[in-house]
Order: sequence, then structure tokens, then C-alpha cells
Amino acid sequence: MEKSTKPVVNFIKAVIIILVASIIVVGTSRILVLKSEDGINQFQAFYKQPENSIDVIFSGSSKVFCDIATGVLWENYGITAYDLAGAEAPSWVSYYQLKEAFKTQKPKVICYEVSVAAMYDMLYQANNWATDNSYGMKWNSNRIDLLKIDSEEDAFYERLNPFNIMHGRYKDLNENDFTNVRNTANYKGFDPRETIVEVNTPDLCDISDIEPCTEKEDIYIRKIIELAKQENVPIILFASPYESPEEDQKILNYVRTIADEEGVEFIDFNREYDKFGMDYSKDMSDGGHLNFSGNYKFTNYFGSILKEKYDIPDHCGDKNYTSWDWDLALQNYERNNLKIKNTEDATEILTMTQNGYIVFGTNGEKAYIIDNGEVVSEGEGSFRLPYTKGEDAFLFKEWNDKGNRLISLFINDEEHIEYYGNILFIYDTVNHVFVRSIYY
Amino acid sequence: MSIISLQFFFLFFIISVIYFLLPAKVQWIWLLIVSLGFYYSQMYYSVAGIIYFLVIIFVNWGGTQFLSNDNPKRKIIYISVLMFDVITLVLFKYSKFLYEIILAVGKLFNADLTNDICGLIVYYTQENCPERISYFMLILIAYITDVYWGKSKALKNPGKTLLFASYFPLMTSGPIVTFEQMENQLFGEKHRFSYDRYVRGMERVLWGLFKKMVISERLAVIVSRIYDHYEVYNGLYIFIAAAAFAFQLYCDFSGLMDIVLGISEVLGINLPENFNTPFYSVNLSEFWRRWHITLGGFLRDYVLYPVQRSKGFKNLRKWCKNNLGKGYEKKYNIPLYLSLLVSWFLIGLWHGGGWNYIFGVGLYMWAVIVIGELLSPFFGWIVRVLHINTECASYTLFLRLRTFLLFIFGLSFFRANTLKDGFLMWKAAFFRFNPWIFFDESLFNLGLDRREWGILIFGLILLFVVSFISQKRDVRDFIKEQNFVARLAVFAVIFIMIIVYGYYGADFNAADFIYGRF
Repeated sequence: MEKSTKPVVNFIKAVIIILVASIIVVGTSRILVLKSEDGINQFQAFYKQPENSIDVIFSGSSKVFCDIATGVLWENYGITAYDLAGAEAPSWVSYYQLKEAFKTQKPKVICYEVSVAAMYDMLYQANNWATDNSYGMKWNSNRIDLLKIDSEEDAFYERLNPFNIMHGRYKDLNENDFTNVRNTANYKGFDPRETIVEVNTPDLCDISDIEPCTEKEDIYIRKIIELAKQENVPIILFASPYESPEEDQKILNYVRTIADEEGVEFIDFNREYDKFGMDYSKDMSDGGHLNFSGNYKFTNYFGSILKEKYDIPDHCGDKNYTSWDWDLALQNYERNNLKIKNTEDATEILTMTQNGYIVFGTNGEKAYIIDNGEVVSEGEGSFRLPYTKGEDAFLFKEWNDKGNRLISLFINDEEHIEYYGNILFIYDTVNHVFVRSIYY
Repeated sequence: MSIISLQFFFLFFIISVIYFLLPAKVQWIWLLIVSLGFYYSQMYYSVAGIIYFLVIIFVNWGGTQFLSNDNPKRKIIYISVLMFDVITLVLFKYSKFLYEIILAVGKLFNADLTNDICGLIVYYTQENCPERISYFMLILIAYITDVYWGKSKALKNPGKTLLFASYFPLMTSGPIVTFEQMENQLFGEKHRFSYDRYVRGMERVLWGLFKKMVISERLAVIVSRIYDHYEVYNGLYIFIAAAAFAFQLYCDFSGLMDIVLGISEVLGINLPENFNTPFYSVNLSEFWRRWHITLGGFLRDYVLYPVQRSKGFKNLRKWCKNNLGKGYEKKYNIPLYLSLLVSWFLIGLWHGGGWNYIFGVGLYMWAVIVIGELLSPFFGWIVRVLHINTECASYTLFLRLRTFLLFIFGLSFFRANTLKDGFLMWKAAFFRFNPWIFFDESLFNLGLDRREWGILIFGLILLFVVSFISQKRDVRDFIKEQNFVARLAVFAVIFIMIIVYGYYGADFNAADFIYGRF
């Protein structure tokens, strides 16, 4: 009896061992998976979008996810747009990203940002970008092909096995790696920059010379166009505004010739910035990317072009597209947070934080918590004020070892300590971020 | 292809499936094809290297065909093939070392004893040295000697000789096998698939990977930091480095052996053990009987005993008897010490063409063992006079610690770049007494942060527990006795530790196996 069942038992055991090994591999890879808003998160959240729900895919480099505010397109035009881009991503990266995107989405338009072809002369991407721009993708033939085209031979074999790249992350694991809160369907790829950097306004009127881009860029820009044609999706090539030097502009002129040859539209916004009120002294966050102010103006203008030239439906109010409402809310709060950071008037801040914020404040010996504009908790003397509605927070007094009085806010395992005084701590409950503290 | 790469294990799975599906008669042919392919990849796809390898095998196979007892010229043929093997080994492995010696001797006499041809030979042999030559040459030397002695029969089939010398698990770092150990397993038995054997083999592979990737590579970080900057990291740091290197080397080499023996076990071919918990040894002789066992066995059977049986040594023993009196062996066994000297010199030399190897893992070890032998009456007297209890655990622990310290001193020269560096390092060890490094944050400046130290210490504790159990029984038997779930849990923990904490991939500068370069 035992003899006849043993092979079966062994087989079951073997299956269990393989199953456990597979669970370990899949489980650890989910925890260790690279997390970055420079390409990875964009792709992972992309997979979570409902099928055929995106009308415009913006593809290209970081200039896409910094410059194209998906919330603005949604709010002003009802366009469901997605920034599917990667840091410094060359055309071959975008090609495979788009190929992957077409598996689940049938957009009305593809907008491909071409500046990388002008800004960089590369055969392969730098190591970190190469992985950031491919590791968001599922492990399939598109990812393998992308790694192959973007890696030298040794690097390719190393990158092929994701554990080679990502297991070193055990040193940096945190709560987010286990909960993965950012990676939701509400995220549409937009990763704005806050800083304001004054850069020179480029004068490109007289630059008509043409300088070819690299052969590899040339090939893959054409392949992107061909891919869009195969999928029967109109494509726009565009260059978003930046501090574009003369050399870059010559190459962008060359890209225009490619677009002309292929019979697709090319818009160089470096030559049209005055049409949307771009101010290079206020709207850039560095030489290459727009800031909040710039991306609003630019996206709004781009949206008007899209709306005018293509038949893109307005999905506003459609309950199937509420994730774009969330995306808009996140972006609006981010914009508001920036305003709060740049305001030094506490009264004005209290006005700006009427909705979606918790304000922890002290006034003399009193302490209070304001939730959505209403005081929900108060204390006096040696207070210890808890807040448990959605966020886990405590506000309390303490003394440091030098005998100074301090006021501490613990919120979601983060600690913010200031010297005691009349102070406000502002917390954004939509983005779940601490915004700032201010004495008044 | 590295034996610890994912590609290797993927291929190995396919190889093993095909192997078990084949009829017994052709299983060895499949192993031969796989072995040659594996060796070709080990040779970095060098055609020249493979040709040298095939020529060496062919000469040895050819030689054994003429070693039958009825051949009057068998001795001359044996010596010719043996000389061919030795010269080939010396040329490929030690030409640079010999060249340096000739240069140094020339300098003594103010003469240049070398010329361009010598330089060219050195360059050529260094560039085209067949990988793992130190292992397969010893296997071949043992084989032709066994055939000459009549202990083994000569293989008629050159393909079988080729497989015996190139069996792919051996083409990493041994173990150094004899024909007797391998003949039936490679060419006689039918190897059927066995679930138990497959799991046991892979358990051992996993443990080997853990030792190499989790423990050894972390120790390597500390060792490199101190060895490369011993002027800065002096005093007690040097002791840390020497001890760390001993464990690094042990985990590296024995880890590789676990992988090699494990994959071979899966195929139904049991290879001889190379390690037997050496750190539990109570003296240096015992240590070396438990460390790189097959090399010691080779030197004992094919160098030490033949040397002791040689005419010269017989005369020496006669001379000792006449001049030192009967029973001289108990006091001054000069013939034994001299034959051991030859063996230890060769052990040192085998580890590398450099005086640091010859001294550290050769002559120094010999000296300690011989001095220990000579002083054993004195030690015995001390034990008696001081009434030291030698039958207790603390005394055993003392002996083990003493053996460990004696071992790591010699071994430290193995890691040093030169003999001079080795001595300078120990000078730096005694130059400064800095016990505070164990109390302040100094140890975290050796390339490992707190987390990494934690992982390393966990790994070392696990290693000691496994080694402790291994002294009495096979740990895998112990695991097998447990419930399947417990067994699975052990597998899961080790597996997770390897894939998460192992040193491999882009963020880690993982090194090849240390013994892989011989």
C-alpha cells in the first residue's frame, strides 16, 4: 500500500516545494520591486487603469511627467490622459512602453515628446534609468526586448533577472514597500516639480539649420510613428518648452523633417511659448522641466489643441472615470500645498486649509486640532492631544535635555518637533503629507 | 558560466531531466557532452584552451594503454607521462613564479639568466592556461599512478577517460577524486530519478549558496577593507581580518563543495567530502585532515608514502637507526619530518606560485606540526606538573582555540599580496593595542553597517549550529526526520535569505570562488 502511494506523495511534496518557492519569489519581488516616480510607478499604475479608459497617452522622458498635468486636462477639457514616461527615456524605451500600452489601451491620440533625441547622444541609458524605465513593465517579451536594445550584453543578462537589480533594496525597505499606497489607479503618472528657477528665454527664431539625431533615435522615432499607424491611432510629436540651446534646436528641426516625411504632426513648443503666456523667469523648475505654474499654462494650451484637432470625448461627471477626479484632487492639493508653503500669513493659511487639512495649533498654553475648518479637539496645560480620524496623530508638549520647551507632532510615525510657541502644523489628508509648520 | 548563476541552475534542471530519461548505457555520454560544454564555458569559450585540455587527456589516456604488467617498458612510459603531466602543470601554473626566481638568482650573481623566449613562454602559458588545471592534473596523475601500481584498470575508451577527468561538478574546484571512487558511479550504475536524492542534493546546494552568498561575501568586505589598508587598520583589526578570512575561505570553499557535491548527488554520483568541520579540530594535523581532505589524501597517497618508500629515505632511516639509536622515531623522527616537509612544500606551492603561499600554508604549517611533535613531551610534563584536567570541555575548547589561532596566522599569508606584506601586516598587528574598537563604532566602519553585521552574525551562528550537529550526524538526516512543514520552513528561510540577503547582482561586488582560480 505504502509503496504504491509513495510516488504520489512525493509528487505532491515536490509540487508544494515548487509552489512555496514560487510564492517566495513572487512575494519578495513584489516587496523589493523598484519604486520610483521616474518611470516605475508610472508603468505600474498604468496597468491598473481600466481597459480602454485612456484617451491620450503622453510618452517620452521626464519632461512628460513633469510638464503634462493630467489633472488640468481632466478639469478643463474632460480628457483622460496618462503620462507614461521615464526619466531621460530615449525613443527605443518609449517605443516598447507604447507597445506594451497598446495591449490594454486604445487611445484617441498618442503624444510623443522628442526632446531627449536633441538633448542626449546615447547608445544605451545609464544603469539606473535603464532599470527605472523598464522595471515597471511586466516581465514579458516587450520588457526583454527593451532591456536588450538598451543594454550592453553583460548588463542585459544581469538586468534580465530582476532579483539581480532589486534585491539590494532590502537595505531601504519601508512601510510603503509593504503597503504600496502610491501605486493606485488614481495615479496618472504626473510627477510635478515645485522649485522656481529663472532661466534664459531661448531665442530660436533664426535657427533653421538641421543637425541629425543619432541613428538609433532616428530609427525608433520612425518605429513609434509606424506603431501608432499600425494601431490606427493618430500621433503628435512634440517638444515641450525648455532652455533649449541652439544645438538642440537644430536636432529638433531634424525631428520635424522626420515628422514631415512620415506625414505626422510636429509641434515645437519652444517656438510657441508666447502663445500660452510662458514666463521663463517663473515657470521653470530647472533648465529642462516646468514647475507647477509652467505645467498648468502649458498643459492647458496643449489641451486646447487636442480638443480642437481630435474628437476626444468629455468624460467629466462620468462615474466610470472617478479615478481622474482623484488625480485632479491630488494635484490640486499639491498646488495648494505649494501656495501654503509660500505664504507667511497664518490667517491666510487657515483660510487655505478649510478642506482636506488637519491643523494642529497652539495658542499660549492652549492647544487645538482643526479638522476641515472645525475645531475637533482642545487641550490646556500639559496637554496630549490625540487625533485618530483616518490619520494617527498626537500633539504634545515636552522638554529637551537642555530644558527647552518643545511642541511635538507625531503623525503616521513621523515626528515634527519645534520650540514651544504659537504655532500651526499643517497636514494634507488627501496626499497624506506634512506640509509645514508656521509660528504666528 | 558561473555555477551559482540562475542560468546554470536552469540548465542543470534540464540536464538532469534528460539524464534520468536516458538509458544507463548512454548516461555517461550525456554527462560527457555536458561536461565538455561546461568546461568550454569555464574556459571563456577559448578553443586553444580546450585543445590543450584535450591533448593532456589524450596523452594520459594513451599512456595508460601501455601500462599493462606484461609491458617491459611500462616504467619508462609511466615516468614519461608523469613527467609530461608535471611539466605541463609547472609550465602553465608556475612559469611566472619560476621566471621570478630565475630573475632573482640572476640578480644575486649580477647576471641576466632570462631572455625574451622565457618572457614569451611566461606570457603564453599565463594567457592560455587551461582553467582548473590544478585539479584535473592531480586527478590524472593519481589515475595513471593507480594504473601503474595495478590498483586501477586502464580505460580503453578515450571518451570515458575524458569524462573521468572533466566531470563537470569537478571542474569547479574539485574535489580531487580517484578512479576507484568514480569508475562504477560514472560508468557502471544506472542512475534512476529519486525524489529523496534530488531534494537532499538541492538542500545541500542551497546551504552551499547560503554559505557563499550570505556569509562569505560579507566577510570578504571586512577582510578586503583591513587587508588593503593594514597600515590604517592595525592592532586588533588584523586579528579580526585573519579570523574573518579563515571563515570567509571556509564558507567560500566548503560552500562551493556543498554545491558541487549536492548537484552530483542529484545525479546519483557521490563525490568524496572535502571538509569535515575543521574548526572543531584540537591540533593542526587534525585540522588539515579535516580541511581540503582530498588534496591531503592525494599528497599522502601519491607523494608522502612514495617518498617514504623511496630508496633515499630507506637509507636515511638506516642512517638514523645507526646514529641515533633504536627507537629514534619516538624522539626525532627525522625521515618523517623530511617527508612531511616535501608534502607541506607542495601544499603551499599548490595554492599558488608565491612565497606567501609556500610559507603560510606550507612551511609554516609544517614547522608548527613538527615543533608540536618535538615539544609534546614538554607539554605533557606541564600538564602533569600543573595538574591540568585534559578531560573537560574547557580544555578541549582551549585546544580548539589554540589550533584556530595557529591556523589563521599561517592562512593570513594566503590572503596577503606577498610574503613581505604578510609579515608587515603582523608587525602592524602588534604595533598597537586598540581594544576600544570593540566598544565604539569602529567595527561599523569596515564596510558593513549594523544591519549587515546582524545578517553576518546570524549566518555565522547558523553555521556553527549546523557544524556542531554535523559532528555527530548529517544535518540533512536531522531535517528529514522532521515533519514536512518544518522541513519546508527551513527551506523557505534559507531560500529567502539567499535571494534577499545574498551578495549578487548589480549592487554587490560579488567575487568568484577563491579556490576556483587554481
